Amino acid sequence: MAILSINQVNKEFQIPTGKVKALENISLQVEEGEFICIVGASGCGKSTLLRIIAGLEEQTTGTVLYDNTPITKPSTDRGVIFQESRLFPWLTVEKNIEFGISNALDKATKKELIQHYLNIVGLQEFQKAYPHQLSGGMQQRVSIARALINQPKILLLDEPFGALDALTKMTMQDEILRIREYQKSTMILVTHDIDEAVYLADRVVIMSSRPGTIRKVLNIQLPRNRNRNSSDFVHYRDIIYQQFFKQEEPDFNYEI
Amino acid sequence: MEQTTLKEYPIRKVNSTDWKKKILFGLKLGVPIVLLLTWEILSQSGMIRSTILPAPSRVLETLWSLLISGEMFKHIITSLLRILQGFLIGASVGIILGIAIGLFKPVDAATTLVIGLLRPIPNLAWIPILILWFGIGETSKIVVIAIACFWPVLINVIDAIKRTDSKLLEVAQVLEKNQKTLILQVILPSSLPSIFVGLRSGMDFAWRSVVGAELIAASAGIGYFMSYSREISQTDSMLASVVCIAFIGFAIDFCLRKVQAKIIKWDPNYFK
Repeated sequence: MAILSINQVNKEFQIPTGKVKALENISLQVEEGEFICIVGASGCGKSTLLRIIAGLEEQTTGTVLYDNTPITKPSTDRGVIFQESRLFPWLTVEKNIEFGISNALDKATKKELIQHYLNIVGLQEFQKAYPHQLSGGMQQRVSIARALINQPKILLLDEPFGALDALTKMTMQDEILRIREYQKSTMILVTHDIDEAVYLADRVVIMSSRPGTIRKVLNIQLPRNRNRNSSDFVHYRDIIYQQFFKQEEPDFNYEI
Repeated sequence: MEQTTLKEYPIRKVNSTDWKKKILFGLKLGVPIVLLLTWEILSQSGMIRSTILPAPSRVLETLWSLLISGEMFKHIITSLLRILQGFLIGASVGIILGIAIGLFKPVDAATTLVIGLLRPIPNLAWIPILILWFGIGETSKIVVIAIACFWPVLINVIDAIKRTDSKLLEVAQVLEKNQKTLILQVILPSSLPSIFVGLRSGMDFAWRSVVGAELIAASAGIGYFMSYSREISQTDSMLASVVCIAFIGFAIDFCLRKVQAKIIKWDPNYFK
């Protein structure tokens, strides 16, 4: 039984000059514990799809079921990590993570929980720091801890490492895999980085633009601790590249 | 060749910024000093009549003797008390109403026209009406000051609340926070910096309007003392009051800035 079931979802946006179709006929079943990466060019509607799953946006037609119940609003079962860390600048690292806690817990339990997640993201020494005193990568770690603290069943990540430099990005990708191992949560990550998708995903969902449709779903059958330079890795990367770039070629072929 | 330029560049850069800083600092202090000296020389030499504009040294002398005799303190304290009361009333009403307007659409709709019509009324235009309503006692003066600082506070609070970052609101939404948490832990803290801007300019306006209020009907206060000095043609006392007003205003703003820095020490823009 799929934990998340997306069926025939369409999404239209109303703009002054008319309607824009953002998503067309999206269907996808996500199994519990799966790592899904959604890859697409910017503006293909991948973030909109994630926002619908999060409950921040409503589809125009179609159904999105989480645990067999339609999604109507956000829930702490579905944690969200945004591209920007979105920390509250007036709260220390510790207090920002505490803000994530949704259950009524006593002080000691809260404190223990916060320490635990500070530990997981490796920021114990910075618990009293304010967000502006941290680097971009550290800020994103705090926002991950804030999202994890409710132990969500699904973690929705909207280009979470898009604003980070290449090296930090790779470290964070490993971090996410480590956290997933530990939390056993289902992950849906939106990205435009093909390498990132092949490195992280069990399945890669490739989307085309305007309107956003699912072009292909690719199973990545590589063992974990993937080598980014192995021939199999490169092979998968090529398949995805071709989905994006071979488009124009047929036209030329017909001309000849 | 290239290496030498590379080596020299940072050294020259450091020197030039150092130099620039010194010039800027010199300008900051130098311009007021030059102005004062010119004024002093012109007055001393008799080119400007001292009954019109006495020399700065003369003004300071008068100020000193007024301070020593305690006369000036009496007026300063009277004015400060009025400001404090007016500011407390005006700023509190401004903050409360501003929050209500910023948060609740119906309140916003209900007040838009009233605010739009009342706001352009010059503060001094209220004085005759307020005297009619409250008499010439303390109340009318305090109300004038309250009205003066109410507007900047109100406008800044409304603006701050409405401009709360929707990205942060979304965070609270996905964490299933209730309305109370949203307001108390997201909207209000994020509005604090702008609310302080409102309070500071509110205090500015209060200080300016106290003088106006006292010019019309008062028996004490720094504005009263100014108009009294004019009646008895003591230009130096008038100018001494002006100096007092300037320095007290500066000191009040300095204190407010300190409080602001303490409360919003998290604001990264504050340190840039």
